[in-house]
Amino acid sequence: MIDVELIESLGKPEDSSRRYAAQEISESGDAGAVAVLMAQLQKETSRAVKEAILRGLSHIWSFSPFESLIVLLKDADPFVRAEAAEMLQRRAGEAMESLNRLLEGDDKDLRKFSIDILSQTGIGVPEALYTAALKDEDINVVISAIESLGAGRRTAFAAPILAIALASSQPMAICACLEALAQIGNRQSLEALRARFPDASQVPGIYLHSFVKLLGGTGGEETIAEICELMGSKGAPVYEVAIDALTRVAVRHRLSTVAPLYEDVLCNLLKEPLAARIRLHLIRLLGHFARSARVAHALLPYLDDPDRMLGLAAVEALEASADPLVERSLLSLATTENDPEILEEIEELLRRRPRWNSPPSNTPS
Amino acid sequence: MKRNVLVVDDSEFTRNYHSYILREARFETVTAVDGADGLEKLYSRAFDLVLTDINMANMDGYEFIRRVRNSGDYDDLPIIIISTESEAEDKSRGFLAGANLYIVKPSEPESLIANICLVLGIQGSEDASANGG
Amino acid sequence: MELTAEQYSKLSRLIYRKLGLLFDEKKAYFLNKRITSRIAALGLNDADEYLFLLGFRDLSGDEMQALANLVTTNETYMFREFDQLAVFADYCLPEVIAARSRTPHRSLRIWCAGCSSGEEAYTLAIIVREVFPESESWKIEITATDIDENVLARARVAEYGDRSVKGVPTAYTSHLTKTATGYRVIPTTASLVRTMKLNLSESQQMKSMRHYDFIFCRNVLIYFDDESRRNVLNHFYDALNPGGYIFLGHSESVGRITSAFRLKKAEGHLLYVKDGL
Repeated sequence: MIDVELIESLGKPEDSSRRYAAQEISESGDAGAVAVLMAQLQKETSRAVKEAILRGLSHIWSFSPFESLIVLLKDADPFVRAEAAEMLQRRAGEAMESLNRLLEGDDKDLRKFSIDILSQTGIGVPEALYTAALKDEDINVVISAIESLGAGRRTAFAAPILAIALASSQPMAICACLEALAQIGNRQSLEALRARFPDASQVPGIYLHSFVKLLGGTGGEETIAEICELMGSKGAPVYEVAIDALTRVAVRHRLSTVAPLYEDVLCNLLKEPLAARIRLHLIRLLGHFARSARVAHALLPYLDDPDRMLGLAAVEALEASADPLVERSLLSLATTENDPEILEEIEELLRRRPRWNSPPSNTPS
Repeated sequence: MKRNVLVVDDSEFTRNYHSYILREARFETVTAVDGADGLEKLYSRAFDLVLTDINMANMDGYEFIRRVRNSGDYDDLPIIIISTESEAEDKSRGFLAGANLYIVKPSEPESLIANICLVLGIQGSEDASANGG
Repeated sequence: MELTAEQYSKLSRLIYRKLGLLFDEKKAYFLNKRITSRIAALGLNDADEYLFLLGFRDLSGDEMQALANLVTTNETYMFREFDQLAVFADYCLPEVIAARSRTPHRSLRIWCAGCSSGEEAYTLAIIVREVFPESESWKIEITATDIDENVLARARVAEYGDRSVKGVPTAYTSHLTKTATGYRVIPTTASLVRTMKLNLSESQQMKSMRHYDFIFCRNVLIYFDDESRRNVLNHFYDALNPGGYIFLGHSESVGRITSAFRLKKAEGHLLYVKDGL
């Protein structure tokens, strides 16, 4: 029997009293606790108290509150829906059967909720249910499933997602597919999509960022040219996504050189008015090609940039360079630098640097 | 100067997607992951429009809109809800909270931009980058 | 190995969602260096694998906590996070004092939660003495609490080395006196601080804390799980007077943890306050 004082406290005007009462009722172990808390939830106006009630429900182990929580996924209050979703997500392992049943139900909102909840856990949705979700009549369920599969790195679903990307006329679904395939696709996915998007420069604006992500995630070395040409034709709006894509390609293919034409594109980009974070990532990208004297010399001015993060990025980026001017600059910086983190990096770098005898390539005139 | 739009949604892809559409139409965008993040971002710079989802953990869209309106600082800021919830009650709640428009996801890009221009009282994407707030 | 802009953005969102911590662009490189070291230490191939681990495989939250330890600095010293203290001194404290002055009560209470060895508590004491000269005639208490009796013992001594006092503005050094081993807070300032052992997770103890005008709990809650963080903040809400302010670390987001407090903007800063003033 729940303490009468606690029940009375649920009716008190102070939020804190009702919140503490809800917590203590949920901890009471009493068989009637669920009913009392659910009844209070229906009339409660305070978000903090609602939250305490919902958390209390999820802690009542001796009952199966999952069905109660699932009912709450249809509550009129989105706060209650979101809290219920979060509670279910925490105990998804135990609520799996109930959640999977939702995926087969008639309610599109519950189907979407189920995908969203399950995809946030490490447990994963059974393949058959994802397959069904990708064919759902409600496009929002399909998009949620695509997003979930990409984030969850479910490479087995690259083929059905590719099929949707090729056939769909719904822009949001197409973008979702491109971005998922950037995570789980491969060169074959990209080649297949050329039927729809032959070249990045011809991709409609709303798909462009997603397509460039796809190039970065799946493209071969040859996509360097395509991405650099895109930066030239589209300008500043694509710089950030293009730099990311180039970095991914460089890392995946372990590139240490790039054609002189594209060295020029990237080095000239440093002269553009870029946001600091974009410049930072560009410096890091150029670091992959710093064996080239052209690239190394373009990075040198950043060693003493007033933004010391750019300075540190430049120090790291110049690791691969054997250019004597670079070494002299680093040694000079080591005598004047005040930032301890940069100093440490310079010292480590000087220890690690290659000692080449071959002349540097692409020496600028 | 471009017009600034705050895009509030707990789905990263949806934030990105709406940002792509808006930027293609020459708007600037800032994104937020939920209502609480949205409030902090709102206070950090001037926006011409807010585009918000409803179902978000931590602070849902209705609560976010209520707090924006109750602050007294953003009475005239246009707020558009864009949500998968399609029932009439959801729309009523949105307008009661203080939204100017309610759009059901997914919206075709042209339709979304047309609705945004309608709410902002501008002609089209050329106006998006002129005389921004 | 480095994080691309998109990977950094995803990681920032994940840290924000799971830990309530914010990282701005300026911290991008700082974060990257520590993360890439962690990725290498875990034997992972790239940042995508790490993001997947954090987002989908870290059911216990251990890796997220390890990440939190990596990206936060545990160093404590006086006047740490100066900008936040400045808005407290220049805006919040005068506002609350002005409101209190319109009542018969001449008292002010500040709670320094998770005070460790006391640097923050004495920082607040110095600020109160400097900004509010009438503090001599008011009943002012700065309650400095911690779960660890050892650090509380050090706090009671109020003596610190060079590293702890490096951030004290020159104009305020009169609140410190040199000793053989360091610097001690002078008695008229130190007397504002009362230490107390308290566990932030202990509900009955937390319920007893009431009628505070300010609560500082900076860089403490990052070590708590999501539910515990919310419980603590709910207790803090109950502990505050209407119009009272809560201060977490400048990269911790109150709004991410609970929607109980109202967000307001003052002097270019975002502040969280309990409604009702």
